[in-house]
Amino acid sequence: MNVAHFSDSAEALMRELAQYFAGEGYLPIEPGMMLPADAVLDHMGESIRKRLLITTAPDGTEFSMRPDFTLPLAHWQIANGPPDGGRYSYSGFAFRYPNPDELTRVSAEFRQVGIENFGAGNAAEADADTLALAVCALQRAGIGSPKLILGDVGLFEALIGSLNLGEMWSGRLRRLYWRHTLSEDMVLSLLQKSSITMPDEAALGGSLSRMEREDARVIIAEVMAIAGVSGAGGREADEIAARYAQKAREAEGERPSLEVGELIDKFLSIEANAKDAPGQLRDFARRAGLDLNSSIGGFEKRLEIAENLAINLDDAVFSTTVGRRIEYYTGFVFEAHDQITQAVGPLASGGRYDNFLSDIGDSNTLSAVGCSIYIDRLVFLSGEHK
Amino acid sequence: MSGPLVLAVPSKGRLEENACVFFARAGLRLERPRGMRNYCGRIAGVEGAEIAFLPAAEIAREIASGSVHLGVTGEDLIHESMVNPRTRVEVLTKLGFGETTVVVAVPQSWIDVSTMDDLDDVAHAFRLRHGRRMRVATKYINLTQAYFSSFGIADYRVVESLGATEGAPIAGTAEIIVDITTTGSTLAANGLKVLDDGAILKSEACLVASLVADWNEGARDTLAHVLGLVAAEARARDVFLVGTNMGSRRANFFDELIDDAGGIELSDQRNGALELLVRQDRLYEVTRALRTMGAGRVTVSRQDYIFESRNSLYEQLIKRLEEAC
Repeated sequence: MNVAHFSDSAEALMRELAQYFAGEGYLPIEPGMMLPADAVLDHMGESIRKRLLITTAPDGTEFSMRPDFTLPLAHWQIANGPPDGGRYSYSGFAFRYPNPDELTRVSAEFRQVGIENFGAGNAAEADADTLALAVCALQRAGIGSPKLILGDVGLFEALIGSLNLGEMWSGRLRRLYWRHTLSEDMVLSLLQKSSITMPDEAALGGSLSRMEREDARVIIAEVMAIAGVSGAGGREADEIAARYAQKAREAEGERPSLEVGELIDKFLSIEANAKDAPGQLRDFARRAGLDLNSSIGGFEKRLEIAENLAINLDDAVFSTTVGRRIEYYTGFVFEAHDQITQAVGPLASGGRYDNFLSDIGDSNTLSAVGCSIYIDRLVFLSGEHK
Repeated sequence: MSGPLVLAVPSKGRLEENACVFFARAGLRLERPRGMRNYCGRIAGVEGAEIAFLPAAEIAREIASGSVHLGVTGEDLIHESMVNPRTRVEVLTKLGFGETTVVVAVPQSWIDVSTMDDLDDVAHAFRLRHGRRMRVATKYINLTQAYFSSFGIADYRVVESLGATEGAPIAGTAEIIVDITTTGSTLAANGLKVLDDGAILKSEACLVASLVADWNEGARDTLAHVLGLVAAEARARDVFLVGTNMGSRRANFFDELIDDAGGIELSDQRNGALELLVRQDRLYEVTRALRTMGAGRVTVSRQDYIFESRNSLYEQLIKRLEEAC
């Protein structure tokens, strides 16, 4: 494992972009380098653990070096920010052990400059603004016209919502979307192989499935009380009873048809020029007999505003998969790549994550949108191009 | 360069006893010159070998880092302590003890949960309802992470637990556990049940070699000595030596005897005297066939060692080391 080299060009670029964002009205914030490891793992999940730089204090408390700036800035907003939010920028090192396929660094330290916009009133404008700022920042770094990939994870959410599947199936499909590297037939395979299996008490399950959910819950709760089962393991007896009753109902009910799976596959495979995407999405929705108008309209609106901000979207592409690996995104998402060397990964990425602040304990439930610029990749590319 | 071969052996408990029995069976007596409190030892009669008595989990880590050449540890610990075991270690042979399964277990009161898919649903709902992630008590952090993510489960937190993990749900320090079990009785005693598809890994004790240790000439020579004995004893344990005299009655009796089922090999044959190596399950059949063919007395004996012309375990490792280069 190497350490990051001091780099004149990286330092200069960071200073320039930090100044640019500050000049655009994004207040520079310098959050601490360490966070309680619990806060990071609670937020990002166990899968990030191996990539975190964790250290243990003498009293046993674990701390993690900041793996990005979004989490510390969100903490900063909750602790110090005004109740209606604000616009902030950051610049500095973040810390994650690199993925094995990372080309541009062998060190666990990497440089980021970026912005967060908490509590903006007009979501469409804030999203388009964020995209425009990212593109302008890249231009300052010598990337005249980056390859833009645009998407909106709200579209998938709207699709699942409009299919009227049971709660459990919708949940499973949503999590499949977020957590698996999706292969073509993954949805079909989920629908074929995964099942809601009832335990052996088929008679009980069968009777429950014909009851109103609340009645079924009451019966299960009583049976559990008779058997003396308490809420061991952190789930209350009531909670267990409610899910058992729900499971009985959904296991009896039909699993989503394979047509549903094909529909989802078809949606996920939509690839289009960004500006043609709304039309294609409307065609898809019309053929499927679904109403996705408000989500499609929202995406279209963002393209319109971005073009009014003089962002050229002629070559931008639409993708249903962009941003999918970051589960906290809730809406518009984008990545900007080098036109030629896409293997280094995105040079900038960002999007909307409206539940972020409330998930980590903000009582004001502020909206959030932001983006990060990956300085080391830019420096790597400028070396390549020379 | 020349240095000793370092062999790591579990420092206490059943694993230590069984490992010593395993090596003793091959004629390798492990000695702790200054008693049980001493963590360095040697093998009687094998110059150039050092023994490090270590906890089994540490053995897996030391093999991964290459600071010991050879060790006895569990497959569970190997998979827990390294990301890609194939690039770092070679499992030479399974030892037939320390059998266990790493499982996902949840409270029996969770009557709505019997599969990993259920657990995924519940983990997600748990986070929404309780505002925190479901906690999994385990010492198998990496195995848990890999297994859960293969089911797309992300809404959980690991709570590291180095002992009495089964008690964590009752103690309220975790909701569920990932731990080893052999009979399931400890789990049941703690009100836990194993999920239908909750078996992460079946494991037993293994003799494992490090691919990243310093395999200098001295270490290789000592390795050939140790593995030669181990392999020869293992070979001898598998088969019986069957001897008889066929006189001059039949010339091609051996061809008539062997078939596709295997387990019969010619060991020696001259002047009518015949020696076969026969697997236990074919023993009676072979002796009967020999007598039918006209053999007189048939004697059967156990061998202590059978050294083949090739030192198979040793060659297996050398081949892997060359591939790794």
